[in-house]
Amino acid sequence: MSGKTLDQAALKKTGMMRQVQPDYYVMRLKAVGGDMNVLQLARIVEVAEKYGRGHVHLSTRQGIEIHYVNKDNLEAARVELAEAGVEMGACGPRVRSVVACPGAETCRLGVIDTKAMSREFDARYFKQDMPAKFKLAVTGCSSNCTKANENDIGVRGAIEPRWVADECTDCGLCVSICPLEAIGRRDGDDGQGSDYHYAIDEAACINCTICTSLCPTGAWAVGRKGHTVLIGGTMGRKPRFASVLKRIVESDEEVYALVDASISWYRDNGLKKERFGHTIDRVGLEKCKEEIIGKAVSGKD
Amino acid sequence: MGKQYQGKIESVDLRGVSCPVNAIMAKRAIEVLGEDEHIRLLLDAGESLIRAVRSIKDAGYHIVKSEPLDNAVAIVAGKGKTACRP
Ligand code: SF4
Ligand code: SF4
Ligand code: SF4
Repeated sequence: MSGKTLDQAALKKTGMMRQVQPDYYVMRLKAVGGDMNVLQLARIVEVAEKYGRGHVHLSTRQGIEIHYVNKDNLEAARVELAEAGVEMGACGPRVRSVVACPGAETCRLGVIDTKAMSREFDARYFKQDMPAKFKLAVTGCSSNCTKANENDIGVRGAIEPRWVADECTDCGLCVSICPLEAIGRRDGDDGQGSDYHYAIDEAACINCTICTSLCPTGAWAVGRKGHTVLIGGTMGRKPRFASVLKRIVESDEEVYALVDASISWYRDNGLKKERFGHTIDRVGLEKCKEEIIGKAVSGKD
Repeated sequence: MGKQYQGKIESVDLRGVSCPVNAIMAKRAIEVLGEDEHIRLLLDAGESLIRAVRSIKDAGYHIVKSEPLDNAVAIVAGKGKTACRP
C-alpha cells in the first residue's frame, strides 16, 4: 500500500502526518496541559525505539511526536501507546491538544487551576471539527507563560485589585511598580474617609498580581478573582493577537458557557480554512462579542 | 508621601546591576541595618524593581517610601514596620 492510498484526512484526525520521506509518518501524541506520567513516558520510549528511529520531537504545544514510523506499523504503535494511556493528538481542521502552564497547583504566581480547566476543555472539545485548526490555552496569570493571546481561545488567570485606605502608608511604591503604569495617586476621598486615594486605570490594567503581592502593607487587596477570556489569537502566516471577550469571569461555569458560545459562533460564521480571529475581523469584533456573550447568557447554541 | 526619616540615610546605587544580583545586594544592604535604620536603594524600573521588591518582601523587610526617577526608582527600606517614623 503506498502513502497515497491511505486516507490522509482520516490519519490527520488521529494525529498522524505524512513525512517528506515516502511511507513514513509522524505520530503526534496528546499531552493535556503538557502533563504525562513516567509510565506513559516509558511506553513512548519503547515505541519510539521499536517503530521509530529512537528519538522523539517536542512540539511547541507541549506535545511529544514520534517521527519515522513506517505506514505499516502505525496501527501497532498506536495500540501499544493506547495500552499505556497515551492518546493520539490531532492535526487538521479541528480542536488541537489543549495547552496549560502549571498554574495555581504549583506556581507561586498562579491565580487559577489551569490543570483542571485544561482537562475539562479537553473532555468537551478535543478533536471536534471546526472551520480551521483551533487551539486553546490556559495560563495561570498575566505572566502569560502559555501565551494565551496566541490561541483561538485563551483563558488567563486574573485578579481585580481593590485599594484599602486604612492599610495604605502612602509609600508610593505601587505607582512605580505597576508594569502598565495603571496606578495613580489622586487627591480627595474615594469614599473611605482618607484625604487621598490610589486609583487604577481599568483600561490599562492587565489584572496581574504585582500590586496585590508587592504592596508592603497589603493595601492592595484582591477584590475579585477569576479568568480573562480571550478570543481570536493566532500566529502562523497571518498573525493576530487575541481580543478580550470578557475580564474577571469569576465562575468556571461562565467560562465554559463563553467558550461553548464562541465555538458555536465560529462554526456558524467561519469560512472553511478561515481562522477564528480572521472571522472576527471580517464580521467585526464588537458584533462578534455581543453575539457570543448573548449566546452564552441565553445558553443557546 | 512626605514622610520624614530620622538620622542620615545612606544610598546604594543598584542601577545597571542585573537580576538576580541586584535583589541579593538589596537584601544584604538591609540585613546589616540596625532595627530603626533605613537605606535608600536606587533600582532600575521594570523587572529589576519587581524582583528586588519581591525578595525584600520575602525576607520580611519593609519598604516605607518610593519615588520615581528617570527610568529608575528610589526606595527607602528597613527591617521592620516599626522602623518607619512618620
Ligand atoms: S502563567 Fe503565571 S501561573 Fe502560569 S507558570 Fe507562568 S507565572 Fe506561573
Ligand atoms: S504600595 Fe501599598 S502602601 Fe504603598 S502607596 Fe501603594 S497601596 Fe499604599
Ligand atoms: S493588577 Fe497589575 S496592571 Fe493592574 S494595577 Fe495592579 S500591578 Fe498594575
